[in-house]
Formats: sequence, structure tokens, C-alpha cells
Amino acid sequence: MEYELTNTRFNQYLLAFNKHLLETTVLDSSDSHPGDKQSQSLFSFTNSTVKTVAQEKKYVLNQIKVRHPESPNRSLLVTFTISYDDFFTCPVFYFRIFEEVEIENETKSRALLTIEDMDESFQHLLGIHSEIRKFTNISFDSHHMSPTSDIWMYLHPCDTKDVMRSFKMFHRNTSEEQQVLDYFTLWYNTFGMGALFPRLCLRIKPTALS
Amino acid sequence: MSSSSPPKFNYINSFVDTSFFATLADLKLNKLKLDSSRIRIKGYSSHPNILTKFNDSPIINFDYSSFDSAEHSDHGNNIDWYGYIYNTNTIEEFKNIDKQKMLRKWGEEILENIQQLDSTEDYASFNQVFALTFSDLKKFKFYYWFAFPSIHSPWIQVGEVNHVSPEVQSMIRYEVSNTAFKQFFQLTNDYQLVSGKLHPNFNTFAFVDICNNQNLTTSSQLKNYLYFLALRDFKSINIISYKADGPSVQFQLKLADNFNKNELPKIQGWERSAHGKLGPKLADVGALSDPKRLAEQAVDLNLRLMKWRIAPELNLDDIKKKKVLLLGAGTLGSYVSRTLLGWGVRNFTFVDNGRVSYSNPVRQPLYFFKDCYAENGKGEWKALQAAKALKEIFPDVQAKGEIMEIPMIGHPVDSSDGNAKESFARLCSLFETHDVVFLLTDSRESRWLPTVLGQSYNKTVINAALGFDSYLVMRHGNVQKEDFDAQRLGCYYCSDVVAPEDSLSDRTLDQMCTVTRPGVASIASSLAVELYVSLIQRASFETSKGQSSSLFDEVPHQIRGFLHNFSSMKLHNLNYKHCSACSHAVLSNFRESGWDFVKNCMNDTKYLEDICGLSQVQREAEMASQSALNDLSLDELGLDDNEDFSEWIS
Repeated sequence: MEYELTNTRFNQYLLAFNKHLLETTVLDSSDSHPGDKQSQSLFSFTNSTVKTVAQEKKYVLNQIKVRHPESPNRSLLVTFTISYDDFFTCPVFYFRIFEEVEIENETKSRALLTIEDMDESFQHLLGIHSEIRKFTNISFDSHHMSPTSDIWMYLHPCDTKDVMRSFKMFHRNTSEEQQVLDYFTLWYNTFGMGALFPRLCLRIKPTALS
Repeated sequence: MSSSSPPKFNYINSFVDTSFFATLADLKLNKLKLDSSRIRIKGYSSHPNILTKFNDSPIINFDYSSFDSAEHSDHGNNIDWYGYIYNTNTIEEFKNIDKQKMLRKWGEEILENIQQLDSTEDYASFNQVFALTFSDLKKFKFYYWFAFPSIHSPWIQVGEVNHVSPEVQSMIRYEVSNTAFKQFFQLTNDYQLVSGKLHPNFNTFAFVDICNNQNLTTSSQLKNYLYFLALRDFKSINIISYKADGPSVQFQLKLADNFNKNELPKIQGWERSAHGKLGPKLADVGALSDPKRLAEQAVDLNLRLMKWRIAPELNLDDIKKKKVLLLGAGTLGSYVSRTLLGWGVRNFTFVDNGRVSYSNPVRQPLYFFKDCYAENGKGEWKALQAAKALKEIFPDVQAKGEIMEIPMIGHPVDSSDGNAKESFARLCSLFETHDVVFLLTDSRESRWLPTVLGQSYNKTVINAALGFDSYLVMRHGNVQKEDFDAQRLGCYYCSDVVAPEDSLSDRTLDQMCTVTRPGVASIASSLAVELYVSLIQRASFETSKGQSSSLFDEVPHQIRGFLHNFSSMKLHNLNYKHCSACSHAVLSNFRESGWDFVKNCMNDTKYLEDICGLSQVQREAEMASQSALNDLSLDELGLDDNEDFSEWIS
């Protein structure tokens, strides 16, 4: 595989990658080992769908729910999509963050647009710190797959291709599928969830690092 | 696992993307308005082929496409579920509406539908979706409650729950993968899956689940099919609950004797919360939908990027919270305010006494042609219009205008002092309530009183002044903040040996300060703002002098620029002890006498010169030049005394 991912290959392997993502996402708690049971029990996938829009544009939408470590009625919802950007010819990560609280018989969710608005416990749990923010270029726009104007945050794909190229990891005699999945995994940890919430990352398979 | 109790079900949850609300809001504003009749909607769930074990509970998704009338939009991936949304007009209606009655009505609709059917082929008739909503379009808050009505029939689970054989699993998988989606099949004795007319002799049925729950429970959508079977006189049945990527199971159900098909059945289906409670949801998506909040966030984000990437020490809050007083809402005022907006400044007050004239809009970017003839041809007041324009550019701005003439030195006030005194008092209170003052007026003398007030009220003062092809941008030294007065930087007037006087009366057109090369104003304005920002980002005001440094490196005292040769220079001069505006003599007189002192100065600049010592300086200068002249004795020129040269010497 070249260092680039075409839309066709993206479509072809997106679901396989998403399955891998659902299976291998861990919450790496700072106070314990990765995948530690206690922090693992604080998050779960609450939705995962795939949608195809015009001209064979396929994308997945997932939602992760992170429960507040102390307050059982509160949680953080991270909704994100993985889609393909035609201009930058690479995957792109769109996301939204909501804080949800269940009070009496009403469930209230509130969309957040800045990491500073997040409850500190969540910031701590998800490993947010100023150093990360410095390198993360978050932009706002409507979703490029949606006709409506409501806002998503996204990690601008302007650097993606160059950085993915620099990883120089695709010259191995692995199958095309494995190469694409390795690409997806590295991309996701660098320009996807890994850039946003570094502790909510994918465990990288040893093959991707060899 | 063995039991003889009613079967347990997984209840459906909705997943509502913000684009659903955005589309609903748009419909409400442009089409429905106050019409609260129901609208057809659809949701989708993942096709069983692509479910993974993480699709643990049945979820129906709603987004912008929920309002599309086109059917089956995304065949391969998703299954559409149809129904209706009721959008109420008030929150009271949403809260007070009889939810039980509503659900019953919806359930009966499904009931009537399936009573007509003789097969289970049309999955969409069996399970419909309903939503009750209220849209608060001002705050972008959406109250909503979904219902997936299920009709109760009294089945008892008997015997064990078994895993299905791989053969049956693959047979169903084949059917699900290769034909249009159907959810419920009858299994014939020769192991054929059929979905046509029910055959009374075959009592095994396969239900295709839309989730892959690992605990062997089936989603509640099965219930309406069970009711249908009860209606069709099935008493004992085997159910295969097929899960594409999970444990498909088989179990037996027996219908309780008390089932009466003529009785209205119990109907359930309001969505429950994560903790299993019945209640509506509230989505506050203002942050994603309200253009004002988006602008606010985007402006801040742009600045934060600068902080994160370039200048981590940058104190953006400090810039943002400062209240800025702009004296003059002309060319300089327009450009300075716009550049300050870029820095995230939110609080502005413009002071100006003029109206927008026809020559203004091309040079003054806060005004437009229409502003010139507003108010019956008089034109808008500049101060008010400038404030309005800033708010139009960025709604989060707090901007106001003060129509007022700044009392000017050398422009005598009449004996009643009326207007001038009032203006003086207003100006004082404006100084008191702002943090920084920009001097952007079109004359020298209008800057004198603000210079004095800036010192007296201990404010940061930035001054920008234009010539035809030159400019001056400077910050005034601050008498209250400097420990060593000898080191204090000068003000606009510190280089003068005369007090400012009327320069406006009898001025010809080409002497007006607006006769400048058009680019000069924006250059000077930009420098003024950048000088200000550098100044307030200094580590310590007290210890920095002249060419002191800030986060952005140097903070010069003055920048003078010249367009005739495109050069600029940084100057640094200390205060002048006889300055007509910032000397101690002037400031202490102002402190003691206030308006009376100002009035005297306005009426007679000589009075001011006497106070600050400039008169004395002038006298000394005159004496010095006289003595220089005397030294330049005519004798030494070797000329004849008799010849009269006095005429050309003087």
C-alpha cells in the first residue's frame, strides 16, 4: 500500500476497522495499568452505526459514554464519526461532547464546545492537559456529510497526510487488509481520539509497531 | 436455563443526533409554525448484518434524514422504522399532555394496523416510532420523549433457553443477507423460512433482532409479533431469537388462558432513561446551533490557538476583560476598534460628537452609505452607529456610544459653562469606568484634557495621530505607576514648549487632519492596538522602562512613521517637567480645582503656560536668544555703524 488511503479502500475496510475499534479501545488510567478493570468499567460504547450518503460516501458514527467517577448520575458523551475527506484524501475525525445528567425523571444533555467546559474529573480521567491542547488543532464546522448546519468539532486534516507518510510503516509483507487497518489505527491514535483524549486510545497491535 | 415466567425484553433506546433538532427547528420556523399536527418521521437501526457484540441494546437513530420522505435511504447498512412526531408549541403543553393516553392512542394505531394483516411480511407495520417534542428555538433547547409502543399479550416462557443450531443460524443469516429486510418468519416443518400468510400448523417462528445482546434477552420489538400470534390463535410457540453476531437462542412460549382478543391490551413503550426511569430528555444544543455562541467560541478559539501554539504565556482573559474608551469614532476609531475586536476585546465605548457624512464610509469601515442620510438626511450619530456596527460584526460585544464634544483647550467656554462642564463631568466618569483610553480625535487640542484625565485616573493611554503622510503612535507614561519620576515616559505634549491652542478655527480644508494618505490611518491604528496589547502583556508595568520588553518582545514608547519614504522609527522620550498636560504642577492644580482649573485653561492658554512653567521657559528662551543675539555683535562683522541693517536682521 502507498502511504495514502483511497476512498475505495476506506469504504472497503471501514467496518472492519470500526469493529477493531470497538473491541480494542481502552481507557488508560494514569493511576493504574492500561485496561485496568476499574477505569474500564467507567466507559462503554453506547452507539455504533454506519451510514452511506451520496456517491458512496460511507462513515461510521459511534458514541462513547464515560461515567463520572464519583457521581453515578453524570456522564460524558463523546459522539464521533470517521469519514473520508475528499480534498485532503485522508480520514477525518469529527466529534461532539455532551455532559449528561439524570435528575429525577429527566435526562439532560448539554453540548460543550470547549474542553475547559468539561468537568475536571472528566478532564483528569481522560488525560487532558495543556500540552495536548497545544498540538491539537480543533476546528468548528458543519459536518461534511450532513446537509444541516449544526456544528461539529473536528481535527483539521491539513497535516494528516504528511504525518501519516512520515510513519513509514507500510513496507511490510502483510496483507492489504492488515496494512489498511494499521493505517487506520495509527491515524485514529494520532488524528482521532488519541489527539483529543489520549487516554481513550486504541491498543496498538504489535504488528503495527514492528 | 429454565423458567416459567413472562419473557424478559430489551427495551429500545433512541439516539438523536443534533441534526435531527436542526431540521426540526428549520421545519418549525419555515413550515409548521404553530401547526402542531403530527409529521411523519423515520429512524434507522443498524442492519443485523453489521451488528457487532457492542450493539448491546436496540437503538433507533434519528437525524436530519428522519424527515426525508424517501423510503429506505440506506439499504445495505440500515433498516428504517417509521412513525410520527408531535411537536408541541409550549413547554406547558409538552409537560401537561396526558402521556398515558397518548401512548395508548399510538399503540391502538399499531393494533388496528396489525389486526388487518394476515402475514408478518411488513415489518414496519409492527413496530412504529413516535416522538413528543417541544422546541425552544430561542435557546436551542429541545425537550423530547420517544415511544416505541408495544402491545402486551400474556405469554409465559416454559422450559429451557437453548442456543440454536449452526444450520438454523446460517439459514436465517442467508435469508437476512440476501433478501429485503423482514423481521419475523414462520419456520415450516421442512425448515423453510416463510413470511407470507401464516400457516396455522407451524408453530416455530424466527425473530430477527436488531441488537446483539449478550445476555440472551430479545428486544421488545418481538412483543407486537407475539400479540399478533395470540390474535391469530396460536397458543404454544417456539421462538428463535436470531442475533447476527451473538448468541441466537430458542425458547418456548405458552399463551396464558386469560388472553381475550376482544379486550384492549396493555400498551407500554415510553423510552426509559439509562437508569431505567420513565421521563423525557432535554438536549441543550445551543453550543452547536446558536450562531451567537458559535461566533463567540470561534473568536476565542482563534485566539487560544495563538496562545497554545505560539505564545503560551499570553493572558487572553486580561485582554478580553478590559474596558476600552475610544475618544473619536472616525477613521482611527473605526480601525482601532476593529483590530481590538480581533484581539478578543468585548467592551467598547465610543465618544464622538459628529454624524456620519458622505465622505466617511469609504475611509471609516464602521459606516455605510445608508448611514449618511439616515435621520432625515442628517446622518447617524457616529458614536451610536459605531457601537451598533461593532455589535453587528460580533454580537457578543458590549458597545455603546456617547454623543459628546470633548472640552478642548483654547476653545473658550461661555460664562454659563453649561455644556462644557457637563461634558467634562461625563468624560470624568467615563475615564473612571474604563481601563484604557485611546486618543483618536482629529485635533491636537482635543487630546489635552484626556491626557490630564488619563494621568489623574491612572489609566493606560494610547495616542494615535496622523499627518498627511506621517503618523505618531505612542503610549503615555503614567505618573501614578512609575516609582522614579525621572524615568517616567512622556506624553503627547512633553515635547512642546507652548500649550496647545485652537488650531481648528479658520482652518483651510487642506489643513484638516482627514487630508491624509488613506492608508496612514489603518497603519497607525494597527500599531496603536498592537502597542497596547504588548504593553498590557508585560510581566511588570512598574519595572519596565521605555524600550521595555513584553511577551511579544519590545514595547516602544513612540513609533513615528513616514510614508514619503516608507520608514518608521521608534522614539523614547522622558516626561518634561514643564509639560502642559502631565507635569506635576498641572496635575496637582487639576486635583485641587477640577473643572475650574480646566475652564481657566480652556479660556486662556497663557494661564496654563504660567502654571506649568512654560511661560517661564519661554521667557528664559527669549532672554537666551536675546543674549545670543547680543553676542552676535554687529561690530564683529566689521560693518560700518552708520549703515542700517536692522531691517533685514529683524
